[in-house]
Amino acid sequence: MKAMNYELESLKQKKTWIFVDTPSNVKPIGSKWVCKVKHKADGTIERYKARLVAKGYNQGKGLDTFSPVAKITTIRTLLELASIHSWHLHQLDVNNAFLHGDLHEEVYMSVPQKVVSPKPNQVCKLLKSLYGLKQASRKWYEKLTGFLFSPGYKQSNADHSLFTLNTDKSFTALLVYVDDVILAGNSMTEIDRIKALLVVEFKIKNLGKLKYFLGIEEAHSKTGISICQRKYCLDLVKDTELMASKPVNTPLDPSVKLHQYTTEPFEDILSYRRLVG
Amino acid sequence: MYLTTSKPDIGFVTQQLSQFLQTPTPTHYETACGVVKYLKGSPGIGLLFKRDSNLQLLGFTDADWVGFLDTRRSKSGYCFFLGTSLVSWRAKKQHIVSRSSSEAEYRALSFASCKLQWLLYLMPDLNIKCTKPPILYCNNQSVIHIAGNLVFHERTKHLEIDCHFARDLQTSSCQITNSTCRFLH
Repeated sequence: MKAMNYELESLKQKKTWIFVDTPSNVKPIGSKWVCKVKHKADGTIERYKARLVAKGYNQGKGLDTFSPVAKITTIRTLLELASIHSWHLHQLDVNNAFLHGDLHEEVYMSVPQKVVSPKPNQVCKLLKSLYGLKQASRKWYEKLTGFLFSPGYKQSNADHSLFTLNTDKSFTALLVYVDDVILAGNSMTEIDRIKALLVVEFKIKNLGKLKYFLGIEEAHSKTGISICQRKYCLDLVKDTELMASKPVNTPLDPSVKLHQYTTEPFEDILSYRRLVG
Repeated sequence: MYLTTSKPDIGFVTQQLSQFLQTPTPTHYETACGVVKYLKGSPGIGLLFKRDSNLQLLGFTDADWVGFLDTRRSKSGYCFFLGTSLVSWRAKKQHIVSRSSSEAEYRALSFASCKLQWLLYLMPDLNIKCTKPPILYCNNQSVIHIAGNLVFHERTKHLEIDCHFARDLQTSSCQITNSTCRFLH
């Protein structure tokens, strides 16, 4: 409940929608509330979260929805560089990232639960993008890209989610994975400067040194930076109910030959897909 | 299995298992459980990026000729190290049937070349100045001859596109060498 109010407050702050009378010939899209518990790296509860999402699947086809994310190779290469050069590695999290995108198309949404429109028979005309809209991630990406160009950041051609600033003294790289951002560089002043700029423009949460990114745990030591996915691994073991089983030494027994359709199909296809896919 | 981001050792078996998402059988599920059991033994093991590593790109490629029993396609695999740290790896089914093992190996080589080319584009963007040229290792003698030899034979005609790609990369920037590579299978 508290989380819902918090979400509504931030939506209001950004002027996400205005109320208009229902235009004829328009079918507004629906919306719903999604509630979730956020966990920390060690599994303890961080906070409760509520999110208003638009039912974007009712939107028409043919929208421009592509938005790039960081390639995992780029992340690893960046970590390797940071390790060699002892760069500062920091992590940011953008609050309500998708709500920052400006919406240029006309999208109407019916009035969501917990919200009262001033007059009856009205709908919300969206001004900012909302979670669940098909173009939400693209609009956010466009907004961030446009913003980063002004302090002099250049977009990499090889990976469009990598932005770098290269001056004679310092080198700073900024890697974007939807709403998670890694900052790496040799100059703390530049990192602080870009952080301050981002705080003003978007509401960001400064998570400090890189520790837990995309479910990957990073540990810094004298010999280097190591990454592992201990929590994810253990969750996987738990989910498959194999906690009591004996560990084996090899991932695949070389004598096992995998064939198609030799025997009866496995009855629980979904659990297989969840595990492998 | 999202775990493939920090565990290269299960990359191959994940690739294998994902071939059967359409109609899995109990054998497949057991194999998948085997992977989970393997992970249980080493949940905290990941990758280490060493501080005293150098900045040379090393690539290793291999192929498994007609490795897929149902369709007789081959598998390609590669991994790339930046100095001593593993940054990129992949195991993939080739989409055409190869008639000889050199052909399969050669496709794997050109597949890895594509990735290497991309990494070479990425390097300047990250302000990396490579002092030494990248080296691509493969374990097949005839492939190295095909890559080094500018003459086309009757037998390599159908590989022409792959040939040109790897060859161009070799002349421009990288070195393809023989090695006994044990990282992939």
